[in-house]
Amino acid sequence: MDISNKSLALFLIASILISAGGTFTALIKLDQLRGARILTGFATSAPAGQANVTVTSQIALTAIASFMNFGGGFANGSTCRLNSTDTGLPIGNCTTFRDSNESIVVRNDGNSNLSINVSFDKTNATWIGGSNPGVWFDASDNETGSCANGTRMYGPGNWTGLNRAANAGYRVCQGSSSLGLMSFDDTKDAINIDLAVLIPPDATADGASGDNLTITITGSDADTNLEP
Amino acid sequence: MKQSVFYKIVFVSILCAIGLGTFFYSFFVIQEVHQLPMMVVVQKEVMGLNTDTDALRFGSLRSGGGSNRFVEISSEKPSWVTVQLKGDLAQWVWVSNESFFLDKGEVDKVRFKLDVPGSAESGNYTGTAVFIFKEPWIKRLETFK
Repeated sequence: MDISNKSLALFLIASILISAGGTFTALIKLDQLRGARILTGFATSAPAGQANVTVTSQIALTAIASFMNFGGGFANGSTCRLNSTDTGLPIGNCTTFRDSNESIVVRNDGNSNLSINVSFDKTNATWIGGSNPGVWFDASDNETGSCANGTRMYGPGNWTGLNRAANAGYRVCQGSSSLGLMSFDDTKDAINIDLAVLIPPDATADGASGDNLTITITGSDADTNLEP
Repeated sequence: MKQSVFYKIVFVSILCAIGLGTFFYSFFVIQEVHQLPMMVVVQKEVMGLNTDTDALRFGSLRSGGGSNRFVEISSEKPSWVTVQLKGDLAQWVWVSNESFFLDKGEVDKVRFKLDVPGSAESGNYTGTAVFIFKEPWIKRLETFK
């Protein structure tokens, strides 16, 4: 069969258009498939920008108190007191709870001094329960000078009761003014967070694995959430 | 025209067309692509806070811990923004908004939430967050059935 040159030219143009259109459509559709992500054509880096992508200087870490594991148990007849410091032996009538010599060590790994806030997802009543339960936390220097000005209210060495609503923050390391950021100097950039617990005899007994308390530690370059 | 020559011309034409399609997609669909490295250290000893802004640094965590970082995104012209993750951390990181319209001058804040599995071994884990800015009209084609 003879094909004219004109027909051949039309055939070529059609094939070019169909191929180009097909490739274009395939790129768009493939982009939506999980197995073929990151379809950016030739563009693999940022050209002279009209768009901005900026990481903010905030971070929030979460830990559960099983990092300092008191186990599970109950207060047998009268109150049981536990804490996570080095001298944290169970005191009082504690049954099956364990000693937890495990502070949470928080370190500033970045290159800025940070304001630090600590919050808890439960209150005394919802975590421990019973009549007059008690939960306190303490922030203290792990390396001397990590909280150089943190001498006020919620600073190092002050056991502070969880007397706020769940998830409300407590600023640690705050000094007498807005000073009191956590240092990033490698020789003094770590603090300890400890917990102490008073369990009343009428609190519901926990199983062996206990009941988790989630602790959130937020760091920011900004001098935020000042305590009054 | 010889048949072999014709087939060669068709073959070359198709290759050119594929290049043309890719070229068009790259320069008329994709506005910009930004990549941010992601990293976390899994260890037992400490919880490390890192607010450096050169990357999505999730700090140091124990297995079972979590970390949140935030990214502010803006554009000088309307864009469809798609956020994609790749690397080790892709399966551990949740993004609050993976695809959204960004109007001219608007600033959107996207949360990156990392959850380290309880079974994770100690070590350094990395990944990349890719932010693809596309022409707004492409959304209509993407959703076209």
